[in-house]
Amino acid sequence: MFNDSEVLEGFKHGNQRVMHGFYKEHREPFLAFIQKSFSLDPDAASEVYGDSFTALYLNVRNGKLELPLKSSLKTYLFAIGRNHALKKFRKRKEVYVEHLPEKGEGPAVESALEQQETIALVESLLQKMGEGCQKVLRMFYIEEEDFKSIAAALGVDKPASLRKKKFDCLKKMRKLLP
Amino acid sequence: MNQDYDIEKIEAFILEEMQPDERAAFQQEINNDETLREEVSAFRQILTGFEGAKVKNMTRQWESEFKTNKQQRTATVRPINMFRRRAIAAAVALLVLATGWWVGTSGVTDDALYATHYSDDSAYENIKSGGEGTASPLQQGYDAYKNGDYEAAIQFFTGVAMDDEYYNTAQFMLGHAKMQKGDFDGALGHVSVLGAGDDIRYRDEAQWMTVLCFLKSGDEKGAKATLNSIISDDRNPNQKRGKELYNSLTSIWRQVSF
Repeated sequence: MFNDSEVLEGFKHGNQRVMHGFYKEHREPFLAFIQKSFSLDPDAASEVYGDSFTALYLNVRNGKLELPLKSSLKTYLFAIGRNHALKKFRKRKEVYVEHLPEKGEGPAVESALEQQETIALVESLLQKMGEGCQKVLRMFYIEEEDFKSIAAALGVDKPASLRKKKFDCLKKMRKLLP
Repeated sequence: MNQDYDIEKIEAFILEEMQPDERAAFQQEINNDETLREEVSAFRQILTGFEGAKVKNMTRQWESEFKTNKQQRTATVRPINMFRRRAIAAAVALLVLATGWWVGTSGVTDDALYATHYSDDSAYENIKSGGEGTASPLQQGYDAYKNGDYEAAIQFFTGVAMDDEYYNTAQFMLGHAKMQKGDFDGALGHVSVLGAGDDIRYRDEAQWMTVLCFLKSGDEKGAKATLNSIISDDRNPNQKRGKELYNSLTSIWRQVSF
């Protein structure tokens, strides 16, 4: 599949083929590792994987992980997963310690829970907004629709007007931020 | 919060969509204005949340696809004891039939079609026009490719930066090198982008390579969709062989070969 520098480049540009390839490549070993380490059921392990992948992606996008890497991206991913599972399932006893990536990989592997909190915060802010703003922001930023498609879905005549609406909605959202 | 701040500018800064000089000037503004700094930080948090929500949605969708595929595979291999004997008999009959039809079908398998339709002549044309025997900046990669050391070629061409004038050439060579290595998913990452791009030096051939990579990756749907795009484009030099390949993919022999 892709090497680490290709994955970094792909993540930076949101290349979905690269993202999907990386996700698929490490899914099985990650799930086996996390299920065995924390005695999780498959659904919980899948959730940890999704959260960890998202955190790794955001760390790359936000410039926290750049070449040259101290470890492979796989190691970062597994370390994020381990730390995330430790925090998420504090009450569970870690039963398997062999082959665990080292702790202390820096801020990039410490932030999965914080990233999830940021996502939850934005989701909760969206819920507090009017229906129009919710749809525009969700379709543009989360579903990656262009203004033409959003206009068609919302029955708006002028797609260009949605650009201004998007920024107005963002400002409203900013006001709601604690 | 100061309402006068230009939110479009803040978003462009966070998403790294500014020109370098504009970015440097805005960075200076941020350094000198604590309130602006707080605004940028707040919007960064919001945009990070959106980006995370987007990726989380993707991973949920992928998970759902993985689970569906797994269920389908399980259902396919589940034994049905009561029909076992008949199934074995049917399998033997099918085997005999398949052996008889092998001659007819062997020319339309993915491997056979790939062998017929893939050639790396375009890689060698590239090497030649890139200055074989002269001091081309990509010479090291070209040499590795010519020597069949595709791993070294991949390593070299991967190091060509996006802002390098030879970037597309390197991507094209990466596509060939990965196809030679049998890494068709990896090759797709390069040729599909070039095939959809506007660099006319590589667009048509990369599109053709995309079809073949899809085929070898087991994604016949993707191969057909790309072929349709080639066939419907009258200026495409691969239109004729595109039709031939499409006919092979839809031929009765291929239907009975799977």
